[in-house]
Amino acid sequence: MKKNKTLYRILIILGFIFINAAVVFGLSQVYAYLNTGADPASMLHLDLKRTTYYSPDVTWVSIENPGRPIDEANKRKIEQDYLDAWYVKNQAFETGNDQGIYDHFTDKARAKVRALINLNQAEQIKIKSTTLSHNITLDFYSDDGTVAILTDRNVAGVEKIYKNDAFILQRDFNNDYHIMLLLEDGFWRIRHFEKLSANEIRPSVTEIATIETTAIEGINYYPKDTPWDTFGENFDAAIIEQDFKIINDLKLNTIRVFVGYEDFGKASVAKAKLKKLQILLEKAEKANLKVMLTLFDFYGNYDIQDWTLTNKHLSAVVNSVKDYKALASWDIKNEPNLDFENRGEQRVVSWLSQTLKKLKQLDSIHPVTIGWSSPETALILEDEVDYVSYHFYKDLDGLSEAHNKIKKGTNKPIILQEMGLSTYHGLWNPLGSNEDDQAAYYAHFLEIQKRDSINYLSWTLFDFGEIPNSVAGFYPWRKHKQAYFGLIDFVGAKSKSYSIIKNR
Amino acid sequence: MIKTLKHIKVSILFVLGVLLMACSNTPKTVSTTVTTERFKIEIPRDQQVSSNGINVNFKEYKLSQLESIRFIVSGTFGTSVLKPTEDSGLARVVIPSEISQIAGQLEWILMEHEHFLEKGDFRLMPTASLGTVENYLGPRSITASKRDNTMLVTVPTDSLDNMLPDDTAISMNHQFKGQTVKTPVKLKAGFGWKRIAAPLVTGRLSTGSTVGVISSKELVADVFPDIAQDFSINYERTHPFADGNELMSIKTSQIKDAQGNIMTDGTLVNFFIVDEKNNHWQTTSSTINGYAFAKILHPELPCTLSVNAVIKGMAESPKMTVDFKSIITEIPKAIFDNSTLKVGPLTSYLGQLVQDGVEVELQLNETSWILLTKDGYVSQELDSLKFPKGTYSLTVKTLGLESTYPITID
Repeated sequence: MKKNKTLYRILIILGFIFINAAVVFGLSQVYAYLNTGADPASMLHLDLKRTTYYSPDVTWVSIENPGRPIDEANKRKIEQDYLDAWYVKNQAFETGNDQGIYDHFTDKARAKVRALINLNQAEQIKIKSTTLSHNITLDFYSDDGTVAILTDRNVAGVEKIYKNDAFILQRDFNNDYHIMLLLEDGFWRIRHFEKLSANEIRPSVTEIATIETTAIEGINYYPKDTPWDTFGENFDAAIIEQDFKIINDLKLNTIRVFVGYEDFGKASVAKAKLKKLQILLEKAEKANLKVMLTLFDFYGNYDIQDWTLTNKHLSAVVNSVKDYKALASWDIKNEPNLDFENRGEQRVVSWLSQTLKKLKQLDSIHPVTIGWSSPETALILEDEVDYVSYHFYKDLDGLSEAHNKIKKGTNKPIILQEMGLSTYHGLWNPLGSNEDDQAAYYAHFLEIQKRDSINYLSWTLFDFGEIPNSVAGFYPWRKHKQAYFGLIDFVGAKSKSYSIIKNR
Repeated sequence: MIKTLKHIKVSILFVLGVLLMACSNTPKTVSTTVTTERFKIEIPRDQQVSSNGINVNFKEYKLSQLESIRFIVSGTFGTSVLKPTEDSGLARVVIPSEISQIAGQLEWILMEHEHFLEKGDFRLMPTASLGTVENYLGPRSITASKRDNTMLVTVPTDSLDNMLPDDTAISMNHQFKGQTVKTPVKLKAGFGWKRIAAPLVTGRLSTGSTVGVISSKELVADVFPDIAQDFSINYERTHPFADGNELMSIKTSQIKDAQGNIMTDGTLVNFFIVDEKNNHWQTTSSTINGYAFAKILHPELPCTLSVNAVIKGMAESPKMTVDFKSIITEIPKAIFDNSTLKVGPLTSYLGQLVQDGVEVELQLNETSWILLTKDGYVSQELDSLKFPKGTYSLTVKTLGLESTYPITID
């Protein structure tokens, strides 16, 4: 009886607290709702800040013209408005919505663009298109600065043609254009536009960059306390140096490091991040380690309208580190096949292919690969990569067969880029493997590896404390599994697998 | 043991859930049919643009499989996908006017389903029928000097709004004060241009261009005077006395530029005035027919004013001095009558009473008043309690004069 009374008391008090909390929450929601609305500053009609949404490579071949000498500010304004005209036109052909056409084409030119858009709309034709490079010559700039005539040569781009939402064709183009722009209402608008010629698309000379595959034995690397955030706030050269000593102790020769697309600043790459990457490469050189650099980590759009932005990113990263001795090879994207379902295989693969071409232009020396997540997908774009990479987390009994199957499909070197076993067993996976299982796994793996002479990088050096949601999703069973792949646990104790790898 | 069992149950539930999710996406298979039938078109040649569309006929075809054929065209403004049509047993593709009337290189690809058959490109050239001549003139206002010019840009188009080919002859004309200049120009990259040097006289310059029988609209540029040259000033006044009443007028000479063009009406002229005590005044006036006038009030005190006029940043006049004489030589003695102190009558240069409102300062021992004249007099009532009977020292200051003398109050 007494027990019941106490129970009732507790329930009443808890109920009281709960009702109060609910009332406070409700009031706060009403208050928050009343405070939403237009930002008062929007009354001022301030200039909107420009974001980067389209940035193909632009080269001004010449600005010498018989009219008025052009100054930098006006040149930039013409370039910006001209590229925006391309952008809105590309958008219009994709969406059928002619928004922005008004701002970037004059009356008569506008009518021509609209007519073609309407024709395509009526026939359910959709063109996804982007240009990747422009080479502009200023033919003429009038004395009063209101007429500009340009020739834009070798406008290289790609278009994907769809009809009734079905993909028909993807084609590269390389055209020369003649453009007349007028300054109207502060916009440089296209008055005349003429395709002068359609140039031949030269197949990009893909010399195969050779990789020294003499026994690549390596490991995927993140610092212990900052997994998936190697170049973040807590970047510490001393920790990296220390970790490299451990890798030296394991007698491994290669590490795989990840460069995040957003982390490095998307199209406008942050110098501070590049500096950290350079420090890592210097430390690796000192430790006599080769670095396989995986780019575009956590990138997942692949849309054709995004290509100029990813190319900008790529140029910045590649140009800043391609001369570092520790750099061994490029891995364009980690496990892109996982995005096939969401984004469509065609979209992902065409992005990979164009990014690969761009990378080859920027750096023809270092070999390039794609980090496919399964042996089944490893041979996609086999003819374009310099070596084939795949990941293997399944039962080791199938490894030999999978590896040899790939071998039959290609003459290029093959690298097993990720393999390993999580030692997590607990609430979310009570039947998981333990440390002994992992040791046995590695012993078994090394046996196969020696027999089939497989180049490999294991996953990973450390067990991690915090796994970001973006890596393994929100579900705790995935996160926990992801945290326990290391050869060294949280407290720094070396596992049995550690000595197995060390004494292989 | 029970605990671990529970865990296992939970895990199994999760595993089942995951399995359910995994099964919900069944892979789709795409099948394509390949036909072996040959299709060939008559390769289009370079030709003029057309507003009626362009027919591309098939050389080899099978009507029953025409549905599978796609003709992809990519012109100046973009790409489209066309379907072949059948017309009394003949197969053809019609390139619609949206594409065929725009000049430029036209690429085409012939496809059967997803299979590439043929491709090529040809040029669409402007038609011979002329449309309009667009002119652009700027700057629209120039100065009459050797340094300045305006520029005429001519862009003629054909009847379908395409730029005309190189070497098309055009005539670019301009006219100024009855003199016409016609310049023959050959188009290059679709446009022609010429610089027109500024005439050295103000006026209006008209321009126009012709291509064959087609003419542009008239565009005009205004020629304004160049910057002003230095000028002189003088003054006019009715008398030289500092009476604080009359207006003096300052006038500039006719202000012109180096070529003798009269400044535009409304050019602002600033007049700066300084007296010998370094007091400054300023007034502004705008020109009419090159002249600017400014009016200033005569001072009350005799002085010498120094005046100069400036058009900011361009031109100025030399300094001019103007003297003002005092209107009286002596201040009349003060009278004390009926508890009122009175000074006057103050008279001007002709013996007339000074105008009302002339400032007079009275000082009786340590007390002083500033008074204004009315009908030539100033008067001040004295409080007998404050100023008991006796002799005081009185100082009177007005119109630049001052006199001090004893006065008896009774």
